[in-house]
Amino acid sequence: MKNLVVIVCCFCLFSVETNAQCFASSGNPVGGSDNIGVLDKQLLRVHTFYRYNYAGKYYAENKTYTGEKRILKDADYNYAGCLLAYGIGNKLTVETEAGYFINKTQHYIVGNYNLTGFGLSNLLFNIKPRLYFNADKRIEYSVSAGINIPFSTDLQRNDAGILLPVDVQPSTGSYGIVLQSFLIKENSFSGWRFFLVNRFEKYFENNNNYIFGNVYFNSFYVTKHFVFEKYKLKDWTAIMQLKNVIKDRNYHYNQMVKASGNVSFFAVPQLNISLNSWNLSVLFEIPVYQYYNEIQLASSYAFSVNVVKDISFNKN
Amino acid sequence: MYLINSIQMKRTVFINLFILLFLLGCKEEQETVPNSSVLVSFDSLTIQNDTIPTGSTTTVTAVAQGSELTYLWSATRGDIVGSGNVVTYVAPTCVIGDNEISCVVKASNKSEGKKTLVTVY
Repeated sequence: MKNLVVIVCCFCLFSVETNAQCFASSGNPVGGSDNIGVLDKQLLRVHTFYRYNYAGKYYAENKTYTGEKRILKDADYNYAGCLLAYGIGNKLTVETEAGYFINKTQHYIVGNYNLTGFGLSNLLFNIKPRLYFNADKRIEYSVSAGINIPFSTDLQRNDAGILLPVDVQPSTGSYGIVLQSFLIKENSFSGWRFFLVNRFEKYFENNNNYIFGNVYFNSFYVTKHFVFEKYKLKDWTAIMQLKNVIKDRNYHYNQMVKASGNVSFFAVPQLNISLNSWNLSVLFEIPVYQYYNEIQLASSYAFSVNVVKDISFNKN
Repeated sequence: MYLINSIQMKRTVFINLFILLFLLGCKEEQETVPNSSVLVSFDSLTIQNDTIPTGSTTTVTAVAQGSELTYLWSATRGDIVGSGNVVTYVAPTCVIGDNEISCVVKASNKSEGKKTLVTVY
């Protein structure tokens, strides 16, 4: 089971789909890292990742929109994150993660203007107990609960003194809670593994009287482990994730933001290489279906590079 | 083995802390006002069109007397782009209704603020 949680390391923690007009993001973006299951006792996991996300077309409900109400050419962000997780016992893991937006930019149609925010995002503290484990059937079920703490509750201005819109603020500016569940099933002989991850995020009102809508993530993963004995890099894992994201509408000054909230499905192929206690993985996120309330700029694609290092303090 | 792991961990923690501190250090100081700046008066804040449809823009102009003035712009909803005393208000589809645009003119001797309304339909 140890290898299992090491290999599958690049999923949906800090899940935020994109930043774009009327698509205010909450939390930190997908790195993405999700330590599926709990860690072994006295195992420290250091996970760093980089993510790029691009949003380049508008959607009106489930159709692309090319009308006059577009104000942005596109939007993108670059994000670097770090996650530390530690196995307190064989049934309990604690995690903390922080990240930094290198840029979070909206490119406007009018005047070729850009608005860019950057800086530290949110800090997440997570506690993850294992509720069920059957070694014979290779099944594990664990849950986690965490609090999301903004690095800053003050809204950021750019160099021109303009208060940046919520979509390019690096932090939500609000506290939140994150609940997750992880169901794992593996077949050691065939090298196939299956995961079901559910995640719920709730954010409270920030200083700008903005409340991000609740976000629900449902992800199903299928992984296949390959061993190429002839090569030094012999441990490879191919992963396909199907991700569903449901985002409720936001509220601003107690008024519903009609052009917010969406339902999306993504295909996320991923390739992972393991060497000793190091893991390197890359993933590409492609939307396969998107439904947006009113008219919103939608996610086009994202990719992520992840490096994971495990350090054991267990003398046994 | 334990010693090696301990050294590895310390190294890893140190590197991560270093990266974090570096990133924190990169954050630029904002809203600085030149020591020699002087605000005499903030005369007016005007908007070209006070009622606009979503997906459109309008120009907002602040007129102030003084030297080396700093303009701080904000909107309760909607985006502001540009710089200086003339900026553009952009109305995304999510800001239907009355929205307040604020401008604060800052100098080393004082600051003054004004507001105007734009209705987005």
